[in-house]
Amino acid sequence: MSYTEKELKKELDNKSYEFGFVTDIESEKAPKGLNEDIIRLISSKKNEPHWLLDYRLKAFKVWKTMKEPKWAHVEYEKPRFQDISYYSAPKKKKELKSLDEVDPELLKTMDKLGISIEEQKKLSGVAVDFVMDSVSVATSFKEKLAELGIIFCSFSEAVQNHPDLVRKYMGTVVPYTDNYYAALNSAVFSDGSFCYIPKGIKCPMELSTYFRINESGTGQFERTLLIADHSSYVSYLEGCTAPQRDENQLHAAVVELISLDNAEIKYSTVQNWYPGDEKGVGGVYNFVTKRGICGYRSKISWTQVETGSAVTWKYPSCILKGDYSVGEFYSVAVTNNFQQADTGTKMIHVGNNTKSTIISKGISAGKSQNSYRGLVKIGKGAQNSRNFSQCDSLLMTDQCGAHTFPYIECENPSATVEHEATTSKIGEDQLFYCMQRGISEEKAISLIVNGYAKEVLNKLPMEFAVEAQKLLEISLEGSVG
Amino acid sequence: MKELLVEIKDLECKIGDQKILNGLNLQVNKGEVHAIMGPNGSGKSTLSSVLAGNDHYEVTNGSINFLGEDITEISPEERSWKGLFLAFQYPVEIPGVSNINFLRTALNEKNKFHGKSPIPAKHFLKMVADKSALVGLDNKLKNRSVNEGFSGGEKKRNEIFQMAMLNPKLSILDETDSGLDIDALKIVASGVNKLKSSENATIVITHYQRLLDYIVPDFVHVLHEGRIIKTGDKNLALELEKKGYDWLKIDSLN
Amino acid sequence: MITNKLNYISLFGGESDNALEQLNSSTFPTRKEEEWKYAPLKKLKKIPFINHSEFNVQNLNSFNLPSTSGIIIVLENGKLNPNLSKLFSLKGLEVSFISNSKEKNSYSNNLKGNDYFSLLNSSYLTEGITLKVSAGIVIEETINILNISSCDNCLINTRLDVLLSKNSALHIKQYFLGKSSTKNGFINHINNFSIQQNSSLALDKFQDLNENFNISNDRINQDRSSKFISNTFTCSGLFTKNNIVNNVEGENCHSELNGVFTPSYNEHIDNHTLINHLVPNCQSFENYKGIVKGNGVGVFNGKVVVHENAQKIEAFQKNNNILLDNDAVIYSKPELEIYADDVKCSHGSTTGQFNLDSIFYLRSRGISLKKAKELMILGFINEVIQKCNDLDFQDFIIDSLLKN
Repeated sequence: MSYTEKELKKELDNKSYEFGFVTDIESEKAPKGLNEDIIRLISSKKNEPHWLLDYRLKAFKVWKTMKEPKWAHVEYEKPRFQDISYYSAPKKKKELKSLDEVDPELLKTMDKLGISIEEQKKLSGVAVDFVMDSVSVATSFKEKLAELGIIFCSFSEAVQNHPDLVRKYMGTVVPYTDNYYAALNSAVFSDGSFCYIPKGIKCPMELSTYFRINESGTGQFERTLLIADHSSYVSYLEGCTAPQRDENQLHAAVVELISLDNAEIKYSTVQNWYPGDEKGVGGVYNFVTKRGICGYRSKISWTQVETGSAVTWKYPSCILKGDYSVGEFYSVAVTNNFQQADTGTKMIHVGNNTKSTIISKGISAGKSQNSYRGLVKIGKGAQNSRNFSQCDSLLMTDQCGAHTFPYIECENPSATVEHEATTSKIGEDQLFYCMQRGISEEKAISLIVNGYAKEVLNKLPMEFAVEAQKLLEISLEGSVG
Repeated sequence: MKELLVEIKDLECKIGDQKILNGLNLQVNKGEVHAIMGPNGSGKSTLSSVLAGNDHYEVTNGSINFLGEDITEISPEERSWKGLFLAFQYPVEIPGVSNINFLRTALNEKNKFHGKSPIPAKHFLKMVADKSALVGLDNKLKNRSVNEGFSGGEKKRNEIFQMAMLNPKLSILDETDSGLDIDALKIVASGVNKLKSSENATIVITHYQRLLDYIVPDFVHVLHEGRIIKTGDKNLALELEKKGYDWLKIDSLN
Repeated sequence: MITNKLNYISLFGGESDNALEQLNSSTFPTRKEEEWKYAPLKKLKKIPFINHSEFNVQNLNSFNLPSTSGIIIVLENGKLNPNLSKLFSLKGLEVSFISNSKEKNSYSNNLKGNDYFSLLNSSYLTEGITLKVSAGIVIEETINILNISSCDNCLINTRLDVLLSKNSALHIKQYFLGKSSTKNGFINHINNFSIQQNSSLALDKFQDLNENFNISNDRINQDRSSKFISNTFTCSGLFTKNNIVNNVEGENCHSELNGVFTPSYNEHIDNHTLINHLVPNCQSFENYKGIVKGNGVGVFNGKVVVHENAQKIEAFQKNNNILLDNDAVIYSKPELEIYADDVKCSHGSTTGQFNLDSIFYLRSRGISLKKAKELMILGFINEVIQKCNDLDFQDFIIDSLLKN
């Protein structure tokens, strides 16, 4: 069966990064470097209130005292923080009143990404916020959502229009002292998405944000703050792409979810940042802190399909504070070539009768390293808590690595915690069986991988499931015939 | 003169906030076979659990009298020592504990309660051989862990085998027929019949009339919403098989 | 001065300059290090350790050990106690003691690890035992090695070196015991095993330290077609840490690490294992069972590394834990690091309490609650107990584990 590996390898080498185009838009960029003046500049560009500038400066102060974390199973050249431009915005000629006024180049970009705003507007009923480099450029369906009292806008707009909400919740789940990259983000974040679902409202459509790094030499530091008030529901999607560039771009985001009593947040990510080329040159460093907190009987569900980035360091987590709250984490992470991913979740059980589920599927190809790292902590007071974790790894070549580092900390005897993990090669007998039935090898691999990831893909909203499946195929199947 | 074995009076119980048994009355004399039938959710399995003393259910009213003694509050093991046996609908798997060790412990604890000395190994093994022949239990299963890796049929046979070993006064068979093919059903039923005597009694809980062809009941009770709504002889079971339960439910409303 | 690290007043001179030098420049571990993340190092640091060589144990009766016809070597407070030992010669087995050896320096200069406690051990070694089995020899008799702490605050640095030449076999029962009235003794031990091709080593380790400390650093190197089975039973101890590194260097090897640990009130038992699969075509199995009582803390950190090109490895790792009381704590971290693709590796970890349905089932058959729990515990650890093929020893283990 040596054919499998060789062919696969060739295909993987030839795999092209579909989204690696550069959009030609004039933009306004801050000078490179990081210091208090730059932070003041960002803050004033955005016309921020004083408390927010203070917050940034405090975060910056803390960041300077922190060291880059070393514990993750990844190796990379430390980003040169002084070589990054911390603010880049497409130059606006005037305030946009409707989508028709959006820069045609930008619309083309979105078209290429397969998220034509025009079309979405008419057909699919998904509200999209589009964040390019650091700035939110277009949000659709705003009025319709506003009728229900739902706020869905860029973070900067929220700071201007809903400062009380932002001030009340920002930093409550991920404080700026949390970790190195969260501190950095807190100091220099430029934009992102904000969402508030009022009490008792079930958001009638998927809310979606598309993030794209476009300018060279920029970092993307967006913040997402999502608040689901009592008994509300929202499904939120996030997509990420970046152009092909030789240098490593830094993406250090912070996402905070607040799910109040009886509320539910479903947060899905399809991450397809540029992973670098087949020699490992370029690609995005994706160092992200994502965390949510659950109130009484509330639920947060993270679903992620990760195929991009040169280095990923990401642990979407749930603090299950309220009694009967539920946390879920479903993940597919594909690494190829020289990609490195250290990803997983933390489920912190604080309340009674809390429940968490972790399903993680890693697929390693090329010379990549793919690690699952997760923490399940059952606090002393968390009576009758339950956790089930299943972490599987699939190895496609003999030069890649698949690793599992689960931390299980159980301090309450009424808890039940189960963790299972397997690591194996793609099943040769399965391949042979498919081929004997007349299915080509490439198709068979894609079938098997999709089947393997199905449990997670099924958790994605329809609009994303198709895209995610396509991404997996591109990532692994290569361009056949 | 019939001798009263068990008397259940106004039994009510709940799990959490949900009331399941709702004033149930039943008397069983020595030498009798009672069948309890009823639709899903009528409280059949709850009744068997409560009789055996599962503290998962909270008894809120009524009493269970066994051989003249109120056993409503006593532990499951003491009920067992006094001669109450439950054949579980879903026998529990206990990895690492061999069937043999399990049974020997059970017998010796019972002996201890009755002030008898532990059963000698030789005697015990002979008893195991005799009783397992009764239900045709495969010899190798006895050395395996309790119910672990047993098929559905093997588990049910193992229950009857244990019943034979413990020689109870009252046996409650909870859906013993579920998941059994007709051959296995015959074997299990014949085991139960062989153990029947004028000194003991059996309560058969079942969904289907099928089992009652082989274990013939003296009384058939219909359970609905936690109480017995009709009692008859074995013909009631045949009638239920034909007409279902709905006509009875309407009856009980009127 | 070393007092800023471990607090001991007098020790009798460094045996090894090399080790001592390294020890002096190394630092006492902290909980910030992954390896020591959960360890109660403060407890250890507080003790003013001394050196002591008198014997306090008159006979072994109080330990209720299983009977044996094999060799018995008793180290008490780190010194060979000839009255309690039973040494006789066996064909093909060479037993020697470092205290009699002329090459003390070369011995402990042969460092097997540069962590703090290995360096401490090499620097201040109290006694070392070497067992060599000649090629083609299968030693039928069990070698019993007892390491007893019988003096308060006594620091004991001991070591066992075992060399199995080709086609040989040996079975060792190793006991780490704390005399019941003795407090705060610390046995800091190193096991260093070398298993040559086609040889087989079985180690049953039993740890019942009561109110004493025990750290055991075990390093095993396996040559091709060899077999290593280690069963570790840890009943009690203020702080007991087993750190097993199993390097599988030859193909077609079989490695097995099993254990039962039962930390109880104020106790901390820590099992760290690392199986290094350096070459293809090997199998490894790990199975650890934790039962935690009172405010005891149990740690399992098992790691399997399959190195590049080590194809066709099958590695299975299992850790199951039961928490019996409200303040009981378990930290479980089963890790897999895989750099080869044609492998079958899996691990599972569960933590919970007794299944209430099972308890009810047992009680409904007339088994009392106490007995039912005992049966459940036996059932739970049975898989591992069965790994010891000596029935007396099995009974001894069960009695010891249940008495806690």
